[in-house]
Amino acid sequence: MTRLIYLLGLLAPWVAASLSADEFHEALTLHPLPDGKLSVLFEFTTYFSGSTGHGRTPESHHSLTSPSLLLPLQQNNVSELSISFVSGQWDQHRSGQAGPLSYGSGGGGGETRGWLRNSKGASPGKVNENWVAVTNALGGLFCATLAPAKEGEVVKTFGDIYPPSRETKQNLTHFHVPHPEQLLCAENLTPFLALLPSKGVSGLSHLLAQPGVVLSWGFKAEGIEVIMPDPSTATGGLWKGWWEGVVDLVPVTGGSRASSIEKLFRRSIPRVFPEASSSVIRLITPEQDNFRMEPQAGSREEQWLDGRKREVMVWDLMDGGLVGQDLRFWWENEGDFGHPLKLESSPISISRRMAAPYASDGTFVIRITNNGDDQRDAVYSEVWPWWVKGWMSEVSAAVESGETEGSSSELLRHLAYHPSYPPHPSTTSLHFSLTLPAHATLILTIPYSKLTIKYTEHRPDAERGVELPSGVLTLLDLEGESDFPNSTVIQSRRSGRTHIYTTRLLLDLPTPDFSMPYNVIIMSCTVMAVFFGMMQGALSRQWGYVDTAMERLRGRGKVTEGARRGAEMGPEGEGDTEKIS
Amino acid sequence: MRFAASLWGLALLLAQLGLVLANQVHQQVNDLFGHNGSGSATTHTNNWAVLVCSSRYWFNYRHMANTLAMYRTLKRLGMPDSNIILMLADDVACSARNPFPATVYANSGRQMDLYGDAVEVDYRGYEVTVESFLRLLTGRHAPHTPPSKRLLSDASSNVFIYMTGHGGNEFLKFQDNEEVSAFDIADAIEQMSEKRRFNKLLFVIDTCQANTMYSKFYSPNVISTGSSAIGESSYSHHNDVDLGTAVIDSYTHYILQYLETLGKTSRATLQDFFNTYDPARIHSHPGISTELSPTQPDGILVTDFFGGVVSVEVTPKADELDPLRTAGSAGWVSGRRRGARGIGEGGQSSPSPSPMKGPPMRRTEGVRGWANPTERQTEGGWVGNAALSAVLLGIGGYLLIDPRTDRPGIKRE
Amino acid sequence: MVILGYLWVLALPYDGLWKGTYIDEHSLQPAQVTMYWDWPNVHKADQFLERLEELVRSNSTFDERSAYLIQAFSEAGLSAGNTTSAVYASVMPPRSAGTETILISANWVSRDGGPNLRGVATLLAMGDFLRGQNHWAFNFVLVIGDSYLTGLSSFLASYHTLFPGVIWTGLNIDYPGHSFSHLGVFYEGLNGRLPNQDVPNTIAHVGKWAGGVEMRLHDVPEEAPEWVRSIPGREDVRGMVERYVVGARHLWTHAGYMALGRASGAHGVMAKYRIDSSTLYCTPASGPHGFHTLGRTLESTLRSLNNLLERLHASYFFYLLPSPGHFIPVGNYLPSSILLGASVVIGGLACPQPPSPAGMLYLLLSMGIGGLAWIAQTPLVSILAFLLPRPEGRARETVRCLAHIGYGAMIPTLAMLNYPQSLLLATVTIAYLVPYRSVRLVALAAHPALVQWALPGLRAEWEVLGNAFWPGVFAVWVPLWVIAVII
Repeated sequence: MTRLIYLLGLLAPWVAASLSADEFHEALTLHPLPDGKLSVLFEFTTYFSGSTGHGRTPESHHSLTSPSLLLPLQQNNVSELSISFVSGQWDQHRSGQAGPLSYGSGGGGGETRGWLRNSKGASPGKVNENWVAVTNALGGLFCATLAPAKEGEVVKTFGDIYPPSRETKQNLTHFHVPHPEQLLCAENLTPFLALLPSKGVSGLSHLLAQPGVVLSWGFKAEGIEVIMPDPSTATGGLWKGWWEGVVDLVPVTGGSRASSIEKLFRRSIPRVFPEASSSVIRLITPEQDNFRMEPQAGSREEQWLDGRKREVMVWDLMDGGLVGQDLRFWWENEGDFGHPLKLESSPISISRRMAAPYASDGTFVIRITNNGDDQRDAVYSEVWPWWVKGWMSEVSAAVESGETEGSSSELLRHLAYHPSYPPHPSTTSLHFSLTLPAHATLILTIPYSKLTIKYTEHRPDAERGVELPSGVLTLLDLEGESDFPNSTVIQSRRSGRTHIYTTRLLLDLPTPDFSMPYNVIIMSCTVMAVFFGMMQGALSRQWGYVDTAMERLRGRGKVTEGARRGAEMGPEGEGDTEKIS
Repeated sequence: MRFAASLWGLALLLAQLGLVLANQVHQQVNDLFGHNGSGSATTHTNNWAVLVCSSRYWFNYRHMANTLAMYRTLKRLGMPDSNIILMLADDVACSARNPFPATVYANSGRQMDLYGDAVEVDYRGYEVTVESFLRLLTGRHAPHTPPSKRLLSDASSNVFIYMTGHGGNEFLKFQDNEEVSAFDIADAIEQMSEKRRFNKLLFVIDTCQANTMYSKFYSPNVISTGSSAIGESSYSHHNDVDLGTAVIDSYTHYILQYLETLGKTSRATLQDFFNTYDPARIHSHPGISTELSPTQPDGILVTDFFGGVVSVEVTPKADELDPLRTAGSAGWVSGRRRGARGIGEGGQSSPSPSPMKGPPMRRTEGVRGWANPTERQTEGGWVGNAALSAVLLGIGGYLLIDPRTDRPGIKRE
Repeated sequence: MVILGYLWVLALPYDGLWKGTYIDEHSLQPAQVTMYWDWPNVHKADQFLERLEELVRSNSTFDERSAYLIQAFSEAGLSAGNTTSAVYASVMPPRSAGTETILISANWVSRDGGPNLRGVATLLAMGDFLRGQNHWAFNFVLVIGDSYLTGLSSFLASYHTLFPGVIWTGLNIDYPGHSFSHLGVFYEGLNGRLPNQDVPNTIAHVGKWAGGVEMRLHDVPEEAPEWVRSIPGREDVRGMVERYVVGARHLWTHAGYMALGRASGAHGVMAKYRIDSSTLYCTPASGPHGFHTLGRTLESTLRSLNNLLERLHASYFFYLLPSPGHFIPVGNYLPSSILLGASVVIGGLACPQPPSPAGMLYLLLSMGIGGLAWIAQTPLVSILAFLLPRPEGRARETVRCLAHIGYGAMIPTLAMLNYPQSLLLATVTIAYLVPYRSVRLVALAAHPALVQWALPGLRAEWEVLGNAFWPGVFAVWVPLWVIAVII
């Protein structure tokens, strides 16, 4: 009898593991760009199940997902969470793409956003506390500053911009914390690799586990997105990690564009991670005839990618046939690469600049170019620190060169303005609902003023300025990238890229003379000391002659007050202040 | 009734076993950890380190390199990342100005990358402030601070604090805009001492006029050393022309040269370490302060602070325990010779410690000479334990076996 | 006091008042880094130069030139475009964040008046050189402005509609001749704004140690002219005199630009936008240096500027440079101007209380004449002063002393911003307000209209670039002349 119990006890974890059925998929996508660069994207997706315990304590059994990622999310009632680090600048004009392949990457710097469940019966502040707790925990995990430095830094108005992918917004609160000053470095890559089940040792993560190689790339983006299991519908959870970089294939002008996995990563294709359910390398072929690859792709797919139908070659690595080999691609009959003189910009591109940047005010000029044939609907959002005050009455939206008619009210349909209310400094966020006319550039101008901040609130490198988070353009009329044959949907809407980001801006703050408080203290102390010393001396000191005979008498205690008044006071002798009766 | 009696007997038996066991284990633990050469009553069981680089900007590359060089040494000598708090005020490894991305070198030949593959920076960039440093030392954190940002040391931890940056007479500059004074650090360390957050503390500082920074300490069990005396500057050692900045400071360069010669099992003492100071080569006069420590540096090993060396006892295969069924006989400690062995010979030169692979190593040569004294003492304690166990066994057995204990109302089985 | 003031001014070229220059911003670390610019880049510059010479020979229009330049930049892999009078290209180094930018310009016309072809060729080669390198934290904007200053000026006005980055520092390349023997640093900006001293100091340091070329300030040689060197006498005394003369020449050249508020090089138009910049001028010669030296100097300077993490704020913004390795700090030259100003003020302290309204009216009249002259755009209108009735008694005293106090206060105030200009104002004021009538009549012969006659470009500079000296003549000088006449 006992033996049976033992046997079952041994089997239990196996059973649980098979029930939880974590699945791990990995993919490496290579995308050659027109100006001699290559976009490299690693994607690692894990599906995991929800908690299985029926007792008072919920249990979670995961075989591939690390508890250091899931526990803080479970404890704090997180429904969805996304963290991204973006370093470098994305050139929309030269790459022909509005942004990187990883659609989930945020604007420049670090960004954390998520949906948290409001637990029943808890105080309204509890969900805020949960957010602080989870960002602190994940910040410690990723060696980054993800938590809001002050309470006011959390932005709660971006719920419509980043809608939840699964649940309704009913019981959820959205939080968004941008950190545009964050940098991406090896200490952010290390925990990312540690969260992966393959840990950088096998599978595609082995190619990624070389900080010296991947961090030398240009534009880089690292991020995770976790969708927690839904207890009400008993669906499983999903967490996706991505790492993208842009490599310059021809750093010195004059050279061939041909490249290979070994040339990029200094390693050949690594051995397969045994627990992976799928492991593929995909190559999005450029639209040139002379593009060649070797070895031949396992399969060929046609896929919609951000509004264009692209041909994707797929190599399946699961059977281990490609282990230790190299994957090469080149352009036939192209010797030295010459930069194209004409480049096609992305269908929708956006840029943000500061016009007339004076010390105390300026104007933000946001240009959104719609190169497509049809009108688009979009929302443009910005987050400002509390000391940037926009002149909302002076906001204007106009079409450049005035070719297309459209009054300002048609172009700018609505403005949701959430200012920062004193006395607690928080962020100001704005959401402009825009209509982007076809083949036109919409110019949105927002004059602003910079308020004065206290000298203690300046950063240590105050003369540098403060980075403003990226602005985000959200396209509202997208249809996703699934292919529907005989569909009448407009081509440019066949995209999954909901968000297009601008660059960060560096705002100069007028800085005080930080040495002044010290100078003021020193000068005022000196003045006080001298003034009071002089006053005290003037009021309480009298000059006069001392009669030495009187001195002797005084010493014998026979002198009266009146006689003493003529005597000199000061450091004359001992016992000058003896009271004599 | 008999059931109750048998329960009592069992309890007593277990208590006796527990007592014997505890006695044995206590004795062994005492012997094991009491042989670190110090002979003092309180000893350390874990090591923590706080490495602070307080300067920002690209031209202070050498301060990051100083701190990372210490970090590398600590990891090489066995301290895990979870016990190291690394504070870097700026990011030079991935700075766009660095022609060798994701690397930090401490010498101009660029032979050794200090950043490596597995670096964990706990406080980076703007998070390195005087306030966060003092909160770290005193343990008074904001709620929800993650454990990787906390110094979770206890009364038996040896804590190593290393600070580098720009400093002056009794102050150290943080981020080029605020300062921490020697009094502040002294008070923080006193709080640590009162809260029993360290067993011993080693404070090393490499800045200009560094020796003034520890001149105000007043807590016991603190040993401090600094790179330069009052009125002296601490110089950078050399430049790298490809980077365009100085890569390491003189003092740290020379102490690193010495520390690189040590391994995990090295018996070098702090006195040996201090003896390597050469003011002529360092171009400043390093200072040492040991007046607050009852134990002198010649009685403290370098690895007491720098390594992750915890006293570990490795038993040979022959000493493995028998399965549970033989536990009832006269003490499973009988006949077992417990010999303590060292972990391994020499130092490993890999930058990060690799986990132990394979079965524990057997070494017959006594690295620390623990084998004999331990055995002798355990054997000595045996007699008393055996007598006690016999008595208790007798009583327990009587209770268990004797049928004559009769209570009213309880039927005999 | 006046004499003391002037003596002090004359003492400035004496090197006892000088201090050695040092780079205050530690990040800059000049000349510490290896340079990669080498002969292949020089070869590319030569190729560009050939095409540029063809363009100049064929009298090309702006459109043709900009088409070629845009093509050249695009072939190097840079995004390029043009405004109405400038061509620009943008270098986006891989790991740069794009929030900060360094501006490098080389305009078509050199400060000598001739074509700046080699400067433009250097810029084209530099663009090609910078593109793929992975160790830059700034974006670069390369500008080739038409003519001398105006192209760059109009580009800067529209810069912020084209690029999002903030510009902290800038460099201008001026390379008119075939080769050069010395590299001159021109640092005066428009309206007397000087860049942070670290910029000319860095260039001087880098040029000397990394470029291996002799540095100069402006185009003034470091050796004293022949007639000084041939003065008989003791060695050390002559040495002192030589150094004094050289220092005096440097300061005189500097004052020549600053007093009139003119920019000494095309970089001057950047000063208005808070961009610390200087011009590198290659003294034409058949001498030893060419593209190679210039490229290396430029690259090393850019590497130093690349190290900046903040705006330049550490070093001085107000200084005099009497020699490439020395500067005169504010405390050493400002007292002379204060003395001069104070002497004028003291001359007017015996004011009648209360001031006579007639006197005030005269003052207003003089300013009114200044306004009229401005409308007519010629200072000759001030001749009207002779038609005015002369004030008597209290009115005259009021006019005299208020003028003294007013201008006397203006002198040190101006000195804090633009010292040579304040010296000019002080000289004019003292000459006009001298209590001896005969001397004054002589001084009044120095009419502001002479300025218009001698320097006809000043008015154009005001209209195009914003040089406030021209309106300053009407607002300050003309009324003073009128006052001096009526007193």
